[in-house]
Amino acid sequence: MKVGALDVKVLNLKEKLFDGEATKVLLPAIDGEMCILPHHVSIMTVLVPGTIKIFRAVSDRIISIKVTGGICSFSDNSAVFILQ
Amino acid sequence: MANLKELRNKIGVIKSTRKVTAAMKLVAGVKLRKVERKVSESREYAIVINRILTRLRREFLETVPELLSGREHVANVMLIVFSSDRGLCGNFNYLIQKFVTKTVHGIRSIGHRVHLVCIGKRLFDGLKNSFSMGVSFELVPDFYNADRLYENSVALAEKVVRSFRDWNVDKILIVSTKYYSAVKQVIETKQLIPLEIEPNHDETITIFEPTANEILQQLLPQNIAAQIYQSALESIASEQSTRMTSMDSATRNADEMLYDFTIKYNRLRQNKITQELVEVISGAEAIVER
Repeated sequence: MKVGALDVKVLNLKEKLFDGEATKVLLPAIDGEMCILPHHVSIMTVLVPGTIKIFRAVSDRIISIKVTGGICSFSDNSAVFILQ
Repeated sequence: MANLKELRNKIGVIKSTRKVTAAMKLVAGVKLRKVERKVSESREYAIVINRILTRLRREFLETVPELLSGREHVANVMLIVFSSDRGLCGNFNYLIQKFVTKTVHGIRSIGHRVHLVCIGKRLFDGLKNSFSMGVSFELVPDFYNADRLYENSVALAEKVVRSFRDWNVDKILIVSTKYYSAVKQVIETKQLIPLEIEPNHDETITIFEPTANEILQQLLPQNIAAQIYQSALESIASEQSTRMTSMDSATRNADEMLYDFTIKYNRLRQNKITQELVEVISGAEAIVER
């Protein structure tokens, strides 16, 4: 893994929406927008309707994924989104 | 001994049956490949959701929600069984029917009532007259509609949660055929409520936003929908794989029959020709002798 990057997986039941490395992730958490950077403390949060923004590590592209709800779990430098 | 016309008809029938079975094998193969990809993706989702639940479970050592732990006293058990809507898939439905009958008898023998939720017409038709007391039935119609499978799974999950909360269902099980490969499928029972979670030895401290309880409240129904959807996909994959295998052996059988009947037909035809020739020659000889 690239230094200063975190693993990100975005899944819904039908398909895998994203699987790769990112430098940071912005997500619509229940208490407001949250930013996850590499080596963040372990956290689990409920998502509200909004957009997840993934800043890719391999390029400058930002990937936006619209969500209606779900859960985000971050531990061991890996963020997993389970969408509804 | 069959005459030539009968044999010709038989060969014609076998040829058209062979065409049908060969086409069905191809169609089942294409459908299987499509659903195989979905199965592997939904498996990953189910694994991740289970891992999150394992992490959450540690937070609830004393007050575990009922949807996770189930009820202490069990009187009614709901069995969600996945079979198929269509036949011509070998012993796929028969094996499930046999397994369910055994499971239901097992549950009944310890005094619990059983409510069977049948997904797939075949099983419903096969089982509805098999049990008498203490077993109720329900068929979920048109569940396997390819465009609405996900929506149907979510609707069934909502119904399952409702029947646990409002009615007297205390324990919920899923019976479906797990798809391992094109040659290996195994019928398995999965416990939905109470949920079976592996013990967690991870000591990492996790922050929960807003609270672990609220995350769990959202995750549990989502997990039930995921388990139902995954079981449905595995069942479809197993059905298509069994259909492919059985249609393949049907095609091979048709080939063998076609070979046998063609040889028989040719022999009979040759006999007839020889006989006619003998008649013509002996007739000609009789004329010459005169």
